[in-house]
Amino acid sequence: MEIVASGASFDFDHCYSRRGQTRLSLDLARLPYTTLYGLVCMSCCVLQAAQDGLAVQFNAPADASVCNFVSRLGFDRFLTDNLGFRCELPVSAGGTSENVVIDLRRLGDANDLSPLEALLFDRLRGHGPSQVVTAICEALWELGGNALEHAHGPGLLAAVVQRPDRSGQQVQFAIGDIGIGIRRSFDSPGSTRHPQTDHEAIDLAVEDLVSSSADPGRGQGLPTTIESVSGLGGRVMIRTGGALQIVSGERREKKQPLARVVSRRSVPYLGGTVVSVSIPCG
Amino acid sequence: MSDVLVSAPKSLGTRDLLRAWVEQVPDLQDDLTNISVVVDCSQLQTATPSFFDEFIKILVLERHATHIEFREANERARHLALRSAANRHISDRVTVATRKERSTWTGLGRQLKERSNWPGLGRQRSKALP
Repeated sequence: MEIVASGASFDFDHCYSRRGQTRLSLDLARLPYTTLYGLVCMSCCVLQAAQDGLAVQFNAPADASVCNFVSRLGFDRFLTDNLGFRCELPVSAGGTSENVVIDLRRLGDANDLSPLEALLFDRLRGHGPSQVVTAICEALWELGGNALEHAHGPGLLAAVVQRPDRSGQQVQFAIGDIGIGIRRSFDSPGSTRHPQTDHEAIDLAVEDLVSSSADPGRGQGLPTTIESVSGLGGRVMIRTGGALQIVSGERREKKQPLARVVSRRSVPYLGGTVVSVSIPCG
Repeated sequence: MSDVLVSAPKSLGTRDLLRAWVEQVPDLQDDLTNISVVVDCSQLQTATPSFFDEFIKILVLERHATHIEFREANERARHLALRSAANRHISDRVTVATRKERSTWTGLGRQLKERSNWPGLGRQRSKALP
């Protein structure tokens, strides 16, 4: 696996390739900026490399502020914990961590989610209206529950408050895993739907009351998360296997924003699923 | 018919955690036929669709409770609870009273309050209503 950061902005899906069977190459020297989505996808690559026993080659970001952000989010510690690889990030002293709400961490079991919810409530206080915190906590529970129940593989999550591209402030939460992915989760015995592609699998997963389980009340978690986030003018990115779909709240005059698919594209294959949620908060 | 009163936990957003919690509530252990369950949601921090769907499924469909009333719910919780009941075609067995209004279940709220110093009750089994 190879990730080579280049260009004016970091788009993980343009910088990632499956080249190299024996090592994970992370060339972040020209990393100009990273979204939480990109960092969580990279961290999924780290988990995959750990699982496959790959060697690591790492070039640190040259930009000091990017190094600080990556380090504050705990990416260097994540590399060490999962791959035993120590990277020397040139971090300047005195940096603030207040924009990191939850640093990168592996998702163990459902009991991990309650303290994380408390963290979100505590650290997001004052960042926008209470509905934003509520929507992020809902996303934590529903997406965390999905990952724990359906992924069958290790996962991770993180949350930040960022100003992407120096625009308005956003709360971002992302969760990823290197499990079986959405399409294969529909292969379970109770499933009546069997998508043939990753794109079809995402289309089914975002449909209300469609689930890989035969239980008729299931399949509300992801659609409800999308509904809540879109209603606040936010955005949800869903990446599984080789497909990426972005749903965003479309603004309407004097009405609550409506969820609309704004992008659907094929991306280099990465096993598992990543879901990223961003909500404007000021 | 008798009634069971329980306080919803502060946060249990996954189905597995909720099921484990229900297993620890003594009044919810047995078959709940002919029993109505009142759930105080005043401490519930985050309402999720999975929480309400699993709660309704366990109590009404698996343990045969006659009725569930979610009380002191916020608007979001009300929306999710009623939607879960509709999805499972048991809307007639689930009601929700929000924090602004009192019980939608005629007369019960006042009677339970007099009988058990509601809210802040924790859980308690009360006698049959007239």
